[in-house]
Amino acid sequence: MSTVLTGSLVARLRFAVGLVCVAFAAVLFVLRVPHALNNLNAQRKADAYITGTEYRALATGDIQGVPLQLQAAALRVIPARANYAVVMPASLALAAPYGINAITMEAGPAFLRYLLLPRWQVAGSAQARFVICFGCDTTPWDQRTTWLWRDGKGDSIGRVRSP
Amino acid sequence: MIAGIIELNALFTASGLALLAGLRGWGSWLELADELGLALMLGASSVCVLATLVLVAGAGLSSATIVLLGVSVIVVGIALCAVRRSPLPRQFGTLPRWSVGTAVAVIAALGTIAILVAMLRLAWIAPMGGGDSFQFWVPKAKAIYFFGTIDTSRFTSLTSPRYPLLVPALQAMDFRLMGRAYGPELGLQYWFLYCGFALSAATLLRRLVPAWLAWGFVALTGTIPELDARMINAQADWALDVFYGLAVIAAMVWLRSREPWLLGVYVAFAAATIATKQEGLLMMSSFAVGLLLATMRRWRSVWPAVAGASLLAYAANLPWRIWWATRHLPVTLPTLGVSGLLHHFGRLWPSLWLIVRLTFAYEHWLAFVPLAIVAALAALTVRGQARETAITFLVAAVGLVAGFTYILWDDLTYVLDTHQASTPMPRAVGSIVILATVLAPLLIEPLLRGVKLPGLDSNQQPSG
Repeated sequence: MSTVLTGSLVARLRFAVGLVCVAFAAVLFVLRVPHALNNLNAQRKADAYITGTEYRALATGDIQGVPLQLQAAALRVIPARANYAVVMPASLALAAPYGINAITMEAGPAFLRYLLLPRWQVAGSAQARFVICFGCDTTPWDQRTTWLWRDGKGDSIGRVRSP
Repeated sequence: MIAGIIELNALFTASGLALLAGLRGWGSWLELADELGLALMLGASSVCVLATLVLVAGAGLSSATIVLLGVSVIVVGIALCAVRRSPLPRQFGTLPRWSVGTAVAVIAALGTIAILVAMLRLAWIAPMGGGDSFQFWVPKAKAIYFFGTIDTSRFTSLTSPRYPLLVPALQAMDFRLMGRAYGPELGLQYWFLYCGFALSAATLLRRLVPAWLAWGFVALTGTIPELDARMINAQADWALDVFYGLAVIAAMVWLRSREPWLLGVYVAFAAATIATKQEGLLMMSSFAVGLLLATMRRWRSVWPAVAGASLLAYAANLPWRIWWATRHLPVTLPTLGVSGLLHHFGRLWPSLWLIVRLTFAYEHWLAFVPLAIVAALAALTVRGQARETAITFLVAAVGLVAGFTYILWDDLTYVLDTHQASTPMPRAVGSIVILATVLAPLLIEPLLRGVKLPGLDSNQQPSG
């Protein structure tokens, strides 16, 4: 390799810095491109269990701790553009027996809002035509709700008779 | 369903090609083929920014509207082409001569393609990722898709109602052409964005630096761990960064080559950056300030063009700002005011330290920022345009660090830790990383001048 280095010390130092930068980038390329490919392939392998269009749509909620059966039932039972409310335990301590953790407490209603659109999630029960009881005691609702789906694990979906 | 996403991106590419034909034209078919990625991103940014204006005007994004938006951009491109008499390709073109440099460029390009293929395979099967995607970005897109307009209490009652509209508009257009609001498929749209970014960055950078250096750093963007982990998430962070990266490259290439069409490209990408996230305004402002400071010596020939183009990009986003201001939507980021900031002065240093730690976190971002800083400091010793690039990079990066520090200092709801759930900063600093990565070739190339390495001649001007 014939390298012509002329000019001041600064120019030579500059060239050395440039060369070190290129060498560093080359090392990064050699080491990190295979690493990136491995990572992407590993992510793909980890997602390989997700099969079918419906399950792929529900998997995000599943990862957040929202039961698959509850998601699928909500899509099936609540009519498009109906208002619904999500009722969850008031505290993490009350939620624990249902297997609901802090992540699910926070993300659950937001995920259901995303999933069920154009069905519209409302905050209070007054405007709700349907109620998704996610790990909750249905007793206060029993008088005015026709339960359309239950999983026996504390999750229920019902139509509110007198909103 | 994926056919709809492919159709939308084909429309973007056709729109971008028409704009490129109008703005500059091509000498050969090879040159045109080389700019397909740039056409995709130019079309995506133009059509999406127009789509946000349509939403602000109270209309929806029906299939007819989407086609009309694309066709209107195409008509503008054709009209420009006719008025400017831009050349259209008449010959095949010449492939680059074979050399060590070409071989290195081919290897780097193959590395990029391999990463793109792996990312596509993942986007094909992955569920929708990212908390913000289901918290508000995709619900907004679904609201536009189902209810037809943003002027409803349903849209404005969603989280972060003041966030800019480009991402929900893009996703809503995807849903419309897919015929179904199916979130997981949006990963494919984000793959198109990264694909377009990689091809565009290589095309633009090669106008200034040898192909091996340009492709090398483009391939390296695909190795950024945070990019691999989150690029296909239906959020705004990486969409923001790819538009920003391309705006930066377009401006820097314009600064050196002074080809007017690049200013048009800069306007489109800068407008898209501002329309994607609130941080976009900070990012483009700090970059424009860096550019202005770097070119003080020749301000007469640079400043009017840079200021004019930047203001034009901002102006495209003014209707949205007026829209939410007139509807008194709640602020996304509460502000403490001067007295509040002074009262919480103790947050300043931890906020700054957190931003610096996040920016230099090798496990998330590798070492592109330190690499670019070293190259920039060395490039400061080179007179002329290399020094301008270095100053622009350093000022823009410092501006971003200062801006993100201010946001953390000002917003007491952000916990000062490195968790993704506590603060958006672990993702926000990606803009500093992308700035460093796309400018690194422009900073390194001048350092290698005056030295002859067989086949890797950095003195030779790159060809298309």
